[in-house]
Amino acid sequence: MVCCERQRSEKTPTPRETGASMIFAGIDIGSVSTEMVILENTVPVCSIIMETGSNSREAADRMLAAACEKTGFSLSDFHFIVTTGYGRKTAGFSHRDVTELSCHARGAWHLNNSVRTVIDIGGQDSKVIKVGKSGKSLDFIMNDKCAAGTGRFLEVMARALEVEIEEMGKIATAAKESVKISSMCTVFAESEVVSLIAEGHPRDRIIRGLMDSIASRVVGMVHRVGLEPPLMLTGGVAKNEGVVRALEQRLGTSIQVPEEPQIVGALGAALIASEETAGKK
Amino acid sequence: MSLQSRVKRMLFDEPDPKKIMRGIGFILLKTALTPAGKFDLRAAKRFSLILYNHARRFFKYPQKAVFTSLFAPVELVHAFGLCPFSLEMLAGIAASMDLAPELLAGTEKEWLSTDFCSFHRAYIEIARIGLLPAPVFVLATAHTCDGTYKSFSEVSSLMSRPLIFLDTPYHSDRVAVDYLTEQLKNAAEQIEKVTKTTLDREKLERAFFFSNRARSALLEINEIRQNERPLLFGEDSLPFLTIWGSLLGHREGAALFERYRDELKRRSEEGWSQIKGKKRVLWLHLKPFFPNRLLRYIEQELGAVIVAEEINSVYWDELDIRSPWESLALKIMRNYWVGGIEKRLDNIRRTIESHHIDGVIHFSHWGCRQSNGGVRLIRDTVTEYGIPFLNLDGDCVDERSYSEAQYLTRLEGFMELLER
Amino acid sequence: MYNFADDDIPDEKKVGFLCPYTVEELIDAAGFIPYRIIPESPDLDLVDAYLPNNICSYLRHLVDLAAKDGLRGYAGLVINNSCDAARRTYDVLKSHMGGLEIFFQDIPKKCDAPAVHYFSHILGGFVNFLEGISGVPLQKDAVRESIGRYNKNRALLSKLFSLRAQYPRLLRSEPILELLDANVRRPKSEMNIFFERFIGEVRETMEESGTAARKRVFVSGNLINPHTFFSIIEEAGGVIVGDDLCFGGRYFTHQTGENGEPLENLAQSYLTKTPCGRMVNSSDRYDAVMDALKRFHAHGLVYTSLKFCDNFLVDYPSLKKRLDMEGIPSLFLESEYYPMGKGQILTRIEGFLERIS
Repeated sequence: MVCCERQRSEKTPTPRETGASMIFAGIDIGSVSTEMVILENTVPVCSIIMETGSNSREAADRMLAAACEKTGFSLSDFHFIVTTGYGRKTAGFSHRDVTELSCHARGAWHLNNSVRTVIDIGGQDSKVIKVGKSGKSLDFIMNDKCAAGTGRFLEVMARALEVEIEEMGKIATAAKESVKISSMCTVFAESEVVSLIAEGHPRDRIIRGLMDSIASRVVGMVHRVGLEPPLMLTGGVAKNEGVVRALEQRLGTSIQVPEEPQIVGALGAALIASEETAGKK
Repeated sequence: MSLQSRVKRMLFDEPDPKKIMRGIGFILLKTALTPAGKFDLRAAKRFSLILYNHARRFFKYPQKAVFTSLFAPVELVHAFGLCPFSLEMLAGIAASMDLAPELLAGTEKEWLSTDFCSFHRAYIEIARIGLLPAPVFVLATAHTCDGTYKSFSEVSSLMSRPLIFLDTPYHSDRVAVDYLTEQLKNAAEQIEKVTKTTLDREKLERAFFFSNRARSALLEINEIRQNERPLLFGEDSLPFLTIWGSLLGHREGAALFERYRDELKRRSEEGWSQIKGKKRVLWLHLKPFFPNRLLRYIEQELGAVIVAEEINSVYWDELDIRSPWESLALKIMRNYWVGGIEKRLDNIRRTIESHHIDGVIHFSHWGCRQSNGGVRLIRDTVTEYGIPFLNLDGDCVDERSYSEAQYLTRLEGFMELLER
Repeated sequence: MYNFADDDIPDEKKVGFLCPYTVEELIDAAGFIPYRIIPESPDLDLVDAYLPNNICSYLRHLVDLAAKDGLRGYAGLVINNSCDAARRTYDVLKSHMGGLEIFFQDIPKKCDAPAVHYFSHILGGFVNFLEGISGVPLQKDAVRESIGRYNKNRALLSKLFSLRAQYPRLLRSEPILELLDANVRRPKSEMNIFFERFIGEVRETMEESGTAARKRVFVSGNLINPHTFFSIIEEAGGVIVGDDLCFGGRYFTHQTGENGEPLENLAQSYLTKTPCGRMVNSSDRYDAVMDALKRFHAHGLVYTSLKFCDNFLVDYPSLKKRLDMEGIPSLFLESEYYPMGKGQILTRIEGFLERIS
């Protein structure tokens, strides 16, 4: 899947040619998806999301190629590229790699500089990051050992319930009650869901219960780092209103979800890239 | 088959303490023939020689071997001319030889819970399969953790040898000190009965003498490391525990730390600066013993050098031969694993200040509830200084769940916190 | 059958406690109600800020309850040195839940004369604590009277447990457990009157001897909140004929001397009662279990413990050896304070019951 906010036509002179602006990029090479954000000076001009596939290095190359095609830039036009995410060290063209912990903090802070805690729920991991002055990460906690509390949990359950993942949020919100899912483990929770369906529990209540399960895992991490509002939720799972609502309920505070929650890491990486060369001219 | 696999097969298929002794003899010889310059520190060669020699003695003279728990009063054992070895450190050494997966798999067959600390499980299995000589007796204290009594009791029963157990009280008031002091006196009498010898007071005095010398040297080493430039890697000092855990009270223990002290002093005076560290780290608790690059990565690639480790803190006063049992009791009770968490937190505060620490890492060994349960309060303490704290979950002995990639992200993230 | 109101005991009379080595007689003598903490909510919301998740779930529920202000207004709380996790729990509560008066009661691991002496010194500290919160000196006679009440209570419980073994179908687990919970949350004087009457009534309504009942199960271990677990065993067709749980079979095995120095007597009786897994004489517990299995004609033993409890989990291999020697089948099950996965537990219990006659 490729989507780009703005495109440059082939006729527009490249920044190198005009010398008017500097181009920076951040690429978040995750285990499931790869995102890229391109900044012209500090203004985002393009963002792309695609599946990583099985090879991060190839994903990075594919992403760069797609970006160049969309914008008309070439690799040499980029003043600085920062890569982040699971595959951050595999991109040969990267100028520097920074952990997704710092990048998410930076990206979230850029979108809302009063944010103090960022919750990122990705395809295969989840993390909570404390954000300080100027978007620096102050503390963090990660879960990359267990699928519960990640996008994978939703995938598995969507399959078991025979619903589209994208529908789950709405269904959960509409449900009047929820069925408690007691299993901590994704694999056992799936069996439990199958049993609940067989016992005749309404699907919508089960789905609401699943949202609550994810929320309870994530909330544990928030408390370990220390809850400090305002909160922002990023990552693919943030698009699921059921999860957002379940989190808000458990934490007792509202959570901001940016318009494009999946690119926050790449955005942060791009911003860090732009700061890298602030002193260099 | 590689040498490594051959050794493994030998150990598991035909466990025989005598074979181990011969194997250690071989390693000893090899180490003795390696030039000291090949080690990061010349004293490190001495370290290896002393450790292997002590281990070899332990296997060669089972009529003198004593199994001890970490922080047990080994001076008492040395005073009887016996040879103590910490079972936890033995488990660590087994892990460093890549033996842990098989050992732990063995315990799982015996219904031992996998939430139980892998140090304990590993040495219980080492004892069970016959890799250890039958000792004279087994000596343990309560305060290492809940699991210590259970495990040493099991080992004592497996080897059919008596267990001498010191019940460390939580408190440290007069009555509590008397309670432990009395137990130490009784322990000495018990050892006399078991060995059919009498404790020679002069030998006890010598053991105290060497223990105090080792203590002084360790104190000086810790002080020298306050130096503005790191003089050795934490990876090289964390293993000190394997020596002073067993050799406090022995001439070699004292001599070794004096060697280290002298070498580090020389480095400091000469302005030695070959370690290009960027940040100074305090390391809490133990480290993974199985082969791994974790510390190398932290200290050498990331540049966060461990300039102090909690496990080598000198928490006790000099031993006084005029009141030997009380002296030993106080030494035990000052350990920061005894009682409430305040001693531990105070030690952390002092070290952050004295060693100009930039960041603190706690290694949460799976199943170590006395340590991991305190992470929140440790974090609070470190935060008082406005420096970052990182908790790493892992296992010191069981490498089966070790995933380097997961550590790397957290460590790099921590580095980013340090660099802000 | 009976109805114990839970809200008639004012919070300021409650001194909360967790562990049966808490010397309740002293609390009782000081004019408070020893009130066992049994967190009721299955949800854990705040505890992750304080304790890691691979630690006793009972203590996690306690800390969660305290963090939610669930112990507000209590006169005090006693935490024992039951285990390492308890020590850290005490540290956390002391640092972060400052409004609560908490006493840490150390317990020696040994139970010989010097240990008893040290323990009586600890109890002296406990007396100071209680006097501090009551504002009134504690009289020895008051303590002796409490000892009398508690001795009577324990004797009655012992009778009750014998009756249960005889009539397990009549004395089902749910009502018995409710009684045991009430027993550690209400004045003993009141509970003693109740138990006398209750035991009398049971004897009158005797049905034919229950030893004919098949699938007689003895439960051993450390299960802080056995309600769900016991009802699953009964649902699967078994009957509970005995247990050695902390507030069950192991609660009443000692009697305290009523003459002489009360603190020393209490130290002696509490320290030398049938031991918990934390004590060095753990094997006395196995002796007590083997004896109870015979006395109550149990067909099998279910060994259960909370996850992460070193003191109890590690005992199973040793107990199993003894059970195997006597040919007594056993089942090992880990559990949580709020057991999850009821279906999984039921399957294992059913499988076990099929093995025993």
